[in-house]
Amino acid sequence: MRKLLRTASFRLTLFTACLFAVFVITTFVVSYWIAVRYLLERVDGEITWQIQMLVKEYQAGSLNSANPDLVEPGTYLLLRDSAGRSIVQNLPSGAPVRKWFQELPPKEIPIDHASHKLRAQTVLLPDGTQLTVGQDLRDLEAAKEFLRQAFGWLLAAILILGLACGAIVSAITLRRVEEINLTVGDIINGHFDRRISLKGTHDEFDRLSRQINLMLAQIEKLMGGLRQVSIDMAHDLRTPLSRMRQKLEGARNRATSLEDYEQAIDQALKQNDEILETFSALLGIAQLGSGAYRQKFHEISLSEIFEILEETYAPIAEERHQILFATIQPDLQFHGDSRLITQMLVNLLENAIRHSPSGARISLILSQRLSGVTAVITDTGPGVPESEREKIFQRFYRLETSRTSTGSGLGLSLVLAIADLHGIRISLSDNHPGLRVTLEFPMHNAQLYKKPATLPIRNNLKQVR
Amino acid sequence: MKILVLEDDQETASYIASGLIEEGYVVDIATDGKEGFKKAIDEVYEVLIVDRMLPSLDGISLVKGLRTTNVKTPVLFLSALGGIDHRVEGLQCGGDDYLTKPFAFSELKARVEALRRRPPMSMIETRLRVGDLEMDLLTRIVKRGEVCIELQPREFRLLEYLMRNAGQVVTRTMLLEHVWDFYFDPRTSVVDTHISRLRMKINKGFTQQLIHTVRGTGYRMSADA
Repeated sequence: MRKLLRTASFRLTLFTACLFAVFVITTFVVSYWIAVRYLLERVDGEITWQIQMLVKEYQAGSLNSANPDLVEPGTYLLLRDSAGRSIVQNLPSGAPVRKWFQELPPKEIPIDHASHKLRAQTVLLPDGTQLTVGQDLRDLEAAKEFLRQAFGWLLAAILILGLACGAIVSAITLRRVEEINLTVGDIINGHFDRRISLKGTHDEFDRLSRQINLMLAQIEKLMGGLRQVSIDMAHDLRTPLSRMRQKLEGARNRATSLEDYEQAIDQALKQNDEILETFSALLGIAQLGSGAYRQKFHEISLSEIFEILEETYAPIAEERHQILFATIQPDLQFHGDSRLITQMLVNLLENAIRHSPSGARISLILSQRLSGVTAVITDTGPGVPESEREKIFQRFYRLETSRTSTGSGLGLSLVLAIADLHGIRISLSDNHPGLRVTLEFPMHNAQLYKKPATLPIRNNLKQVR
Repeated sequence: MKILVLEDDQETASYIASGLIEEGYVVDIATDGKEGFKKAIDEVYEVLIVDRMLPSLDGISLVKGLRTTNVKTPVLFLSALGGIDHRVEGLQCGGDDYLTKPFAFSELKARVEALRRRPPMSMIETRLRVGDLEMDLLTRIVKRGEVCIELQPREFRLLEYLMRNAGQVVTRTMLLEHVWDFYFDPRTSVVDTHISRLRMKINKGFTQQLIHTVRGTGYRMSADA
């Protein structure tokens, strides 16, 4: 029973029935009152008419106890002279005397051995005679009784109808909710591909179902991404770990001199560091996603950062027989985290340098345009095929061409995370030959948006055809 | 030559301590925040190595407390929390340097040396000298013997840092942090490239090496080989 009380369905039904009942009771009270008033008025009219007639009779002198049939059945009268003696009467003489209509008496009057409710009026004639005329209210009482009974039945019928209506309505409504519940229950139990069926009615339930389905799709996508990242991570970390193991094992079995051991240990350390670096990059990406850095933003000089990059990387390009050109517009400011911005730019610039052959031209451009500050990093290296341009921002993704080079495969994911944090839009295009990376810094950081920290989101990645 | 290590992990603490003892330091270990705080106040240490996560009193509060009670001993934070904001927090509360776990012992050692030699703020030098190389910090002129050496701003900062830590090993990470403000590992040999260019500039016409490579660790600047 208590469980029944707790269901929305039951409560809704009860509420409907009560509403119906209130409606019916109100209707009844009003109509009952109107009907009774109408009937009373008729009784009163009758009394008035009788009085007029009897007064005429009395004045004509033809009213006395000799002709009691003057009055119709159901009408009672009492005529008293000025001394209070009754002349004509079929009313008990104890009846009170009033000049207006009244129910006589508060207690029923016994007439012909039965008690009757009467309504009566008294008039005082000019000669001091009092005439009281009463009407039996039996008919009225019967009518009232009939009305009350009819209403009782009506109320019972309406309540049943209300309960039925409520039950039907709530069953229809809540059946959909129950369906959704069941489906979600299935999903909780591991059937992640289950979806809530739509009825095609485009009502609220369909909308709710569609929203839940979209949410499920999104969750599934995120889970898939997470699984992919875990697999990639395990895969990417297994390689250096097993390599390290082989090296150590080889040293254990074959090393004969101290140099051999030292060399093995050095190599193991190097591999260990690579693994650790992968982990810190992953941690870094996760931390960036949480948006905690945003409170630490301040005005930074982009121009200064670019100048440092030029000064730092020109010699490095030179060592590889490449040329680094920089065109930097001075005094360009941006609101952000200078260390992160530096890390992002270094990552992109180093990619350009590392993936380009000797003789390549690398350029670094920072300029102000109408839409805001724009940075462009280009190289004349092998470039990135259009089909791969989105993928290279995924974690652990490697182009076939760079499979052999070292790296965690997380650099660009980190770049994207930093760009997202600052609301910077990154786009890749063809440099004919090579790759052109364009960074569009927002005018102000008001257009930053929040996003989940689990995966690199590609909202800010625009394909340039 | 006393150093206090505040580290709750027994293994890490003994790893640090044994390494430092080999280097000739006297090392005290505290595994609990409150106990460490008492030691740091009662005794005189040259450097405190503080882990951020300590039982009964965390590293950040501990160092804040030391600074309010006027203990000026240099503090090197050790922490597995390596985010930039964690680092900033560590330095803001009165730490002098911050090293993220896992770390190489050579890195720790180099940083401890640098902290030991950090001059009090009142003794800011305006002239640095290593052998016959001289740097005037006010006029920003670098001379070796009578020869003026033209340096780019970044090279100047690099040389300044090396000269301030003359005789000490400085690691690549330290250089990246102090000279370039890079708090990550670049994939190209930024430090080595710039060091070799700097070497070329200051060795031009001279035979004596001033910047020495310490294999597997970093660099050391000194007039003697």
